[in-house]
Amino acid sequence: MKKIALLALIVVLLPAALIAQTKQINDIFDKYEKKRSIESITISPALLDFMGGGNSQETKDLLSKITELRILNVPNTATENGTQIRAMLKRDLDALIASESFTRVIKVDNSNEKMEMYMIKGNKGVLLFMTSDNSTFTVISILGEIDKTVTSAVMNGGIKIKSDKR
Amino acid sequence: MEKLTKQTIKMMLDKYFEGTSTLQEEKALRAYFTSGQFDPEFAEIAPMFEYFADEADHDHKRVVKRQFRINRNTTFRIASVMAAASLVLFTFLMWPQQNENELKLMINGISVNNNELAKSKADDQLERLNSLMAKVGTNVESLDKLSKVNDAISSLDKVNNMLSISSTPNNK
Repeated sequence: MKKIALLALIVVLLPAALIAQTKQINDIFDKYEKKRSIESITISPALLDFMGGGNSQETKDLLSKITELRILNVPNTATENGTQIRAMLKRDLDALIASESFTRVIKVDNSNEKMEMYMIKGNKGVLLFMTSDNSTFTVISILGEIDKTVTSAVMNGGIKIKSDKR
Repeated sequence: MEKLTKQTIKMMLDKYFEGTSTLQEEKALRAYFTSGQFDPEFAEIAPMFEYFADEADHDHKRVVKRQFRINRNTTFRIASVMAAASLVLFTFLMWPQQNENELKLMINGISVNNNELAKSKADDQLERLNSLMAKVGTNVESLDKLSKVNDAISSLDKVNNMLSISSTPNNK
């Protein structure tokens, strides 16, 4: 009886656990996009493409795995109550990265440009990029079924906005 | 339970075999014979009542088993309902994400309805990301090249070793 109750509880809680990290990322984006001086862009996979991908089946398969791409652009000058919004956002992201056991894939420190790439693999996975330079701090999140093909396509293929067919 | 006299038992047995005994009397007879302290005169009849008592016990177990099955079915039904509910909840939570607009731009917390501007800004950010990724790619390529050079050097080392071994007898 206890086992059945436990099983039922797992069945109920499992979907919630699966969407937890996606929800938390979206919560952070939702929180900061409302602030002054912040730019936020949300893009559906229908508008995305991979460099040299075109209409190939491989590109379609890759894009079908992505559910959403979000960008948050924070100028270094943006502040709230005397605190840099960039610092607040970084703190929130660091806490999320630690609590959801993200894996750091890449860290680039190129003079004044820095980039970190984190990921959580899985059906409701996340690819999270944080880039910063002297003027801005940008967070890019790619949500969806994150597997090796998506990760390597993003790393090698160069994800971009689909060009208009005219 | 009050002690039954031999006479009462006889009377109850007569009624039992005539088929006029009440349920209470039958219960009393079963209790009397299964207690093991019956009059030797009834020794021949006793096994029959012990058998009936056994059957009654089995019936009880069957009822308990059936009740357990009913309970289990109820639990499974509840679990199924909960699973279905969680599926509905999951679909409900995920649905808005898939139905959202293809492109959404917000500046200063205000929604800006300008797809071209949104695309241009997104393109800029993705280009910046791609340029950093290209740098990573270049470094990985350099590492690959370095590893190839290392492989080549180790092959040369092997050739050198072989040559030094083959040239040793001539020196002697």
